[in-house]
Amino acid sequence: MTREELVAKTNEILADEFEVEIEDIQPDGDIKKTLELDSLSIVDMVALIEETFGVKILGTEVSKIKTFDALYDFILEKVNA
Amino acid sequence: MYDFVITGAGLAGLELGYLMAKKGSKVCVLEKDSRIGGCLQTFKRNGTLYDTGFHYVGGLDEGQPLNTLFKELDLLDLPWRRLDNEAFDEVIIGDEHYFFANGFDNFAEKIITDYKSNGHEISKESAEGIFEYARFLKDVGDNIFNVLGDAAHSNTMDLFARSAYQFLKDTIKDDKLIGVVSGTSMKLELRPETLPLYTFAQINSSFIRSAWRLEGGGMQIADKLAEGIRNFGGGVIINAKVTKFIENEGVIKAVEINGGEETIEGRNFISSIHPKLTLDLTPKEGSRIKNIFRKRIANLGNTYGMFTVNMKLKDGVVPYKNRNIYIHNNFNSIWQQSEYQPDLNNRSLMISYQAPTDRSTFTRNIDILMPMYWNELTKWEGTKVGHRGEEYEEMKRSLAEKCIEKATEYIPELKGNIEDFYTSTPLTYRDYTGTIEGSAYGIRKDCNNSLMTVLAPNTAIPNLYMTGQNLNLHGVLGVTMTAFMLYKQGNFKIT
Repeated sequence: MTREELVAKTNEILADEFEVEIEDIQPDGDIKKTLELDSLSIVDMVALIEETFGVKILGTEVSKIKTFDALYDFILEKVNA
Repeated sequence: MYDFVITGAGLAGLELGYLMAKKGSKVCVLEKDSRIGGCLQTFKRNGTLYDTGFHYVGGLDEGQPLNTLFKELDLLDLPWRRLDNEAFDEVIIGDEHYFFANGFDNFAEKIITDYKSNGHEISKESAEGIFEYARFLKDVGDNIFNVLGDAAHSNTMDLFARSAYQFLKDTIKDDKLIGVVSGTSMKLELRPETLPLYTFAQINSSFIRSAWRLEGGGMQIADKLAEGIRNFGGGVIINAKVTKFIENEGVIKAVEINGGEETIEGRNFISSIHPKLTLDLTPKEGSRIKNIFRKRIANLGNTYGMFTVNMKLKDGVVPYKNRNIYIHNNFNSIWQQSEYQPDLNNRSLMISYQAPTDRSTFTRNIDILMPMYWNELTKWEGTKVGHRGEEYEEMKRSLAEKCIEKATEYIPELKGNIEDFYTSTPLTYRDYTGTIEGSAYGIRKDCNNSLMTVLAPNTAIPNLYMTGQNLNLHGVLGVTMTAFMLYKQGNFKIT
């Protein structure tokens, strides 16, 4: 999967599931703010990413991911690992 | 305008209602059914009371966890009867008998003695393992209230993320002995792949401290709490089904009752019904609750249900036993109950004696409980109580006969002395308590996925909270703890 494809896929599922406009998702945007995540719903994002891309995200890893760019890089690294 | 509008008058809803009302808040508890109590409900047939979901509680002695909580709820003066210290539970595995004793060291010693007298050899490390297990249970129980503070919450989550079965394997190291110590755990769902250590340890710990029946049935708990709420000026309203949470500008303003008959306004809303049903009552569009959260909750699995036979016995013939009896086919079957067991011989049974209110040495009521699975009932999924048809009645009769036959092997006096019996299935539970698939213990917590399966009482809507057996821990102690967690930590708006 290319980075471009991964970005498109990620944005599509996040916008769909978290009910935000896809244009609101900017690479340097803050994930929590954009998706209106709190400590409860962050597990929903983790589950969604895990299910979509078949990767496993640890609690310690997710706390380090702040922006969408960081998220794309993280998934890409896992997918290609 | 109420300070608290509580959906569901089961144990959790009534306890929270009582605590809030006692503190001076204006409280209203709404019950869809014509009777309060949820799983505590008793039913009366021909002048006799029968329990449904309630059988015994643990940890009610002075200084023990449930005692501390029930003191605040003013429930200690109900007619509690302590089960035998040296044998509050009897576990029968094949033709072997084991007795659970109160006190952690006492418990461990008794298990080891019984194991040897049943003809088994026990290795030094397994004997030490039993003591280590008992000490661990004590420690977990001693720290049960840490969850009400902030610091130790992570410790609780650690125990939720550990496997109970793996812990037993690592500690006790003897599969048969693991079966023995798990032998009374039909009050939770023993599922080796998923059961969290927290659930297993906390529940077993409380009963090893002390075990109690309630003379006259579990409904007294619900009645006493409801009476208290009313005396404090609050309301408990029956036949009031919440059909909608009315959300406006991101907060719940009111609940709609019986499809629009009435609306009740409040500042805080607590739902003690199944989380899926709670979310179904919030608006689909424009809610702060995201669909992804709804989907997650809807997809969570629920624990198995129970088939129950309530027997009425002739007077003065069946001796009352001040303990429960658990019957298992063999050592392996104990941890297999979470999977559908088509062979009824492989299903475990619990036998519960009703404590006679007149202190007679004979009992008039015995209940038999057996795991029952939703796939056995899907055929009648769309039917209502009393109208499920002859095939269903026949299925229940045949299951009841099998249960009674098995119980009679251990209580021979039952033969010819059963005046009458009544049966219920998970469908009955579903229809009376609103629990999904008639599940006995609610949402199945998964130690491999504790973040997703152990739900928090908060929701994305800041004044909507959840409580009840589906959240932290089930059972009387578990639900009460869960209610206290919300009571202590809720960031409520009160005038």
